[in-house]
Amino acid sequence: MTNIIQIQDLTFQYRRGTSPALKEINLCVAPGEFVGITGPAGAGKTTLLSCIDGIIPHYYGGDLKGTVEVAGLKVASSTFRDLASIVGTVFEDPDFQMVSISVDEEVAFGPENLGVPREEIEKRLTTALKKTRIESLRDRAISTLSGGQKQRVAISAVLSMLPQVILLDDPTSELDPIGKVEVFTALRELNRDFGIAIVIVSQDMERLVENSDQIIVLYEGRILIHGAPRQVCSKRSVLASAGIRVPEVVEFTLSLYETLGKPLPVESVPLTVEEAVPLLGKILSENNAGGI
Amino acid sequence: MNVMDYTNRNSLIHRLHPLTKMGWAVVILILSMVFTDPLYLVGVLISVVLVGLVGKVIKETLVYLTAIFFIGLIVFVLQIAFRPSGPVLFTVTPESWRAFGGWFPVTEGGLRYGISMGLRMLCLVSVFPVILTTTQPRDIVMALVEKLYVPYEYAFMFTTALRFMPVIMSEVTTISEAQRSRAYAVEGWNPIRKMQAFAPIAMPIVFIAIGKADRLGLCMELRGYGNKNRTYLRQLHMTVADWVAVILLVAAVAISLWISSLGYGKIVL
Amino acid sequence: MAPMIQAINLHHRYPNGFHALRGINVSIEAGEFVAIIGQNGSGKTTFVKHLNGLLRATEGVVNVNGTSVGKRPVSEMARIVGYCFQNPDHQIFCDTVYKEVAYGPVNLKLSPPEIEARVVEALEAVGLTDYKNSNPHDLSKGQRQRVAVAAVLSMHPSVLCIDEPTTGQDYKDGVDMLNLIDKLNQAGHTVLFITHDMPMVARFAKRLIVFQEGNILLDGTTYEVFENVEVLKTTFLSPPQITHLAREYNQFYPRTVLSVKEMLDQTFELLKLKSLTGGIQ
Repeated sequence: MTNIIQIQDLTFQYRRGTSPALKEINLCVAPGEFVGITGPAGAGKTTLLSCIDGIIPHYYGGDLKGTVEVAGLKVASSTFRDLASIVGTVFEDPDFQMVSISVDEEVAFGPENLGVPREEIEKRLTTALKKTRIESLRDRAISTLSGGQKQRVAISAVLSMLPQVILLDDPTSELDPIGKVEVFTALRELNRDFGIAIVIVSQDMERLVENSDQIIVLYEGRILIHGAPRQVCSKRSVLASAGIRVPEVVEFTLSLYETLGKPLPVESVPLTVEEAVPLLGKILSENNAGGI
Repeated sequence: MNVMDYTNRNSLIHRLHPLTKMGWAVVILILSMVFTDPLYLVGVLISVVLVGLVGKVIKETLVYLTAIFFIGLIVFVLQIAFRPSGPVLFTVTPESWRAFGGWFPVTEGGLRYGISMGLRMLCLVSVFPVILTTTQPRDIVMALVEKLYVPYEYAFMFTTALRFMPVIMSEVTTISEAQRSRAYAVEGWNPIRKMQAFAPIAMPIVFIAIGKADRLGLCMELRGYGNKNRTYLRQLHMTVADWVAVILLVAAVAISLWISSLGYGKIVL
Repeated sequence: MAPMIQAINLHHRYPNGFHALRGINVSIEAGEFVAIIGQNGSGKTTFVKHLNGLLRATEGVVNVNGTSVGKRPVSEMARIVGYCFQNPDHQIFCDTVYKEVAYGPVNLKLSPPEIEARVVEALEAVGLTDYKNSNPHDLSKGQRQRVAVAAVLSMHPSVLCIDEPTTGQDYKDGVDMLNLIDKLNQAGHTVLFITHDMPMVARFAKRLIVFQEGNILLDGTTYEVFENVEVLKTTFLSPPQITHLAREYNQFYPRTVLSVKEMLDQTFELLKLKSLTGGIQ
């Protein structure tokens, strides 16, 4: 089974850059995987996504070394039209990534551009709206929607091109808490129920560790750590040195166990409050706190 | 620009094909040029307003016409000034004045011509609010591109501008608020001052707009924009109503040309 | 002494009819550090915009430093209430940081030596002295935000209103920003920051005012507000993870926990106690 994304020895420097924005990146994403990418500002996260969807080198030029392949196609030698039906991208700003006045126009925009026959466009439109649970918004004007709804429209607009992987560049940073939940829920469902691979750049560590199969941490253009969420979280000190935080329950539980001289094994690292509860309970009862 | 936004109402005019409506605009153009008698031109104008009534957009149409009326007035005054003919009815400045006495004569011919041209201008532009409020921009685009062979890029530019105007306006409002919070205030009459005062609002919006336009272009390309053979989700059909309308329009032109040739509808200038 | 900020039965109806504020009553003393929280559309930003006159009350009164805002022009209110917008790019238009920070004082028609002094002081306060002659567009987003804060500080307002200091920001920049705001509060400014970033609120704010659908739902210290679990739930603003964890064992953590450090300190207290009273390990 070919990896949906395969990157080998990728090094890239922007034309006007003084040093490489990405250095010797090697990573792969399997079909249906949920990958979270995080790191401080300027680490190269957006640059990395741009190398996958073809923005680099087709829109922004520079010095590109190494190979980037999506579904076996070399990004550097494929056109946007070839890539559009494999990888779709959703950006941070809910407003300036959509061109149409109403939702159905926007979702139909992609397939229309690809010359898909009319009946097929209608089918894709309905399906895309259903997958993000916004069928009721079909005839609405985009300007009347909330941030979370707008981002789900943007996701549908990409879904209608039937991609195998969706890239998202910090789609929730401008949204309020309700909007963030809406978007992450939609992404989780797309991934688990429909097998679409998701690669999402975000600073929201809590949601990333909850949903990802793989987390990649970028720092100064390199991959600092990558692996399953528990593995990544267990390396707190490395993350801290790069200014990256882990979820509060992770920070707390690992600090607690370490200070008591009983470091937790990787597979026990808690990712959510629910997972942390019994671990705390164990410490409290072992030390006979209040006589449990 | 609010009166030019599509209104989602169910009316006969809404259901007509965009081309029928554009054809109607051409017919109004012809009628406005054929007739010069103010009475006939008023008739044409009333017919447009009636179409607006049938289209349930009478309010928008009248608001627009009231706004444009001022421009019609300018046309009116210009004609009086530059097309004098026939006996002088009066002068704007009384003859008795020592300086500038007897200036700006208003002639009978000039007056009639002025009214006629003013009305003609109103007729010509009156079709815009009716069409824009009863036709979705994407349908206009489709009609232009598929039937009139206008290149897609140009038609698309028009609808994209419509879509982003409210967004840009809201950014300008935010910028204005942010600068006012720094004691920015436009005061006084000095035009140089006023130009300088423009920078705090203009600069940020220009930077923002350029950056966002770039991002938008990128998003469009990522979704395959630029294909010459693009398809369209919606289909527009010519219905019975459309064909009836076309027949009526053709008849209107024919009849108008005929009675005009008989000497009606024209005024001696 | 009159409170620094006071709203009495404040209503605001937008021209399109939307009733954004439905009778707000609130009183904030000089030197407080308040977080104004709520979902988008709850009225939090609408409320703060009344403080410097960007919006006018359709009913009710807003007093700042003892006098009513009334119809006083924004340019006058700007001397007392500084409002720092969320996106610094909505403000930045000069080609040097110096000019940008000087813009406010210039508008206030201060003397050149006074302007110079204030710019230097403001840049020092935000830590951008070295960038005095840089072009703001060459700076990072976090730095541009600090330029925006300096540009507001140079007008010497007693009240600072900061709109969403951490939204759309890198985590580290967000923390730096809040540390800066905290420092400014220590220096004597009354600070209001509008946000929906609950972990930051838990960490930095002393008082929370919770807006929902045009009303103030809760108003109190951070501890008090978080303890109102059921009410807070209706706003869909969730306290940070650590608070939830502590609640699961509230027999051990009777007081709401707001940060990891608090939790660790309290847990070690508990454990030490046990080992003193003969617990194992």
